[in-house]
Amino acid sequence: ASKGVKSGSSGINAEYGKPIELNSTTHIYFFLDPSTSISHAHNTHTHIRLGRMDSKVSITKLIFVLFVVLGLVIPSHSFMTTVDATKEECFYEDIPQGAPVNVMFQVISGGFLDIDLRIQAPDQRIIYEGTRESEGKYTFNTYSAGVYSFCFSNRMSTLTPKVVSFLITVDGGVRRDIAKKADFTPLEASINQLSEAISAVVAEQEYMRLREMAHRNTSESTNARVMWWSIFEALMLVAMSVWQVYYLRRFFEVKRVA
Amino acid sequence: MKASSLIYITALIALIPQCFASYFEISGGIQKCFLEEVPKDTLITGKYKVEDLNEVANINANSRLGLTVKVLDPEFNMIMDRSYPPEGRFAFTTQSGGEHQICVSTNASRWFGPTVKARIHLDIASGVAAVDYEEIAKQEHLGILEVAVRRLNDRVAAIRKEQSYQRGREVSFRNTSESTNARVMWWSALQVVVLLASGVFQMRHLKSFFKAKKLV
Repeated sequence: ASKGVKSGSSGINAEYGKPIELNSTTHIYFFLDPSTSISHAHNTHTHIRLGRMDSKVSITKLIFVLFVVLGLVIPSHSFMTTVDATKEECFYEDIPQGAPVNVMFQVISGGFLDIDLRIQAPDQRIIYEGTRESEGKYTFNTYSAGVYSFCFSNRMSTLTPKVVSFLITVDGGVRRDIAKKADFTPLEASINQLSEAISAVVAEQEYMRLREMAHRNTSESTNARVMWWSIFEALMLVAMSVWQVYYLRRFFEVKRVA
Repeated sequence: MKASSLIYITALIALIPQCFASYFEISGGIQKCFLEEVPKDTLITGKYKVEDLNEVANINANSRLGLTVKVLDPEFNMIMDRSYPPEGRFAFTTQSGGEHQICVSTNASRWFGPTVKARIHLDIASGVAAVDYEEIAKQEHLGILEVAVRRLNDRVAAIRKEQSYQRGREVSFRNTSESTNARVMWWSALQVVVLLASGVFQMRHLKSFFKAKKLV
């Protein structure tokens, strides 16, 4: 039975993938293309474009809401933690297959500002092994789903604990493609652009903050070292000169007895 | 139409990985500390889940491990020390700017049985990332664009706050550097003086010593 289609209007209620019978020979199959939000109807003879669907929850609004709520947030885990001397701290992530993983780390303070990093796949294969690096950035694609381990090792140091700041990002790349194709109003597009720009500013600010922290720690450590070294050296000098005097005295006194 | 939009909602949500994807393992009463350097009046939230790795062996349901969270402010005062159930979230607002330490540990130590070994899923967010905009949108009945603009405003305000905090830190950094510089200069001068003085002392003392011993 006909669904009350008027020519030229788009008042069809249809279900995804189910055929609408317009007349005995023409069937229309309803599809929704999320990339353009324009719905297409195919049949065996002609390709009919029905135009933009105007429903309460359109796909563009949906994607927009998701982006607003998630803020184009790429799932990431960032921590700043202390790795004690001769110890190893491991962090584990459950990552699906084929996802691009980005690891960034910086040693903020401690000793020579170096640390070892080892990334292992679920089958114990070592994906990356870096020794004595003070900062690094590494990207890889997961070849299998499972638990990947990221281990920071301070085994090379016997005394000094190291403070490491790291960021593990698992990029859900598919969402970016949807963002480019979706049809936003100029206002929504502007807001998305603003959001991306602000994310870039925040990322840069974060990096600078970590650099400043590292420099400040170095400077404070230099200051403390200068003070202690100066006191030590002054005491050593005085002690040396007193010892020299008494040694020479003793030297001459002994000689006179003999 | 509603069915198809539902399909796409689920598809898009499925693209988001699980919330608790990152974890680490601790044993016994050892605590693990995470540092967060944030300006004043920043909201920090943590979402966690504690899994007891010994649970397979221990069928006793009462021994569910909780989480003890201790927070130290930049002056190492304890501003928070609370125990939490095995799964949930915690939150606090910083009273001063600087490096805060968030230390977590499992609160149970068994009187009998094997040492406690736990797997903790943890996610710490600070500032704007810690705010739940869905909740705000519901409570204040905001539209989509309004939530987006509110979020952008909050993020820009957070950037400004961070910038003024960094400005303050740079001042203290500069003071430290200048004090180091001055110290190096004064101590070097002092060392030259001490060297000369000890040389003079040595010569005079030895000279009088030799004169007294009638060697000179």
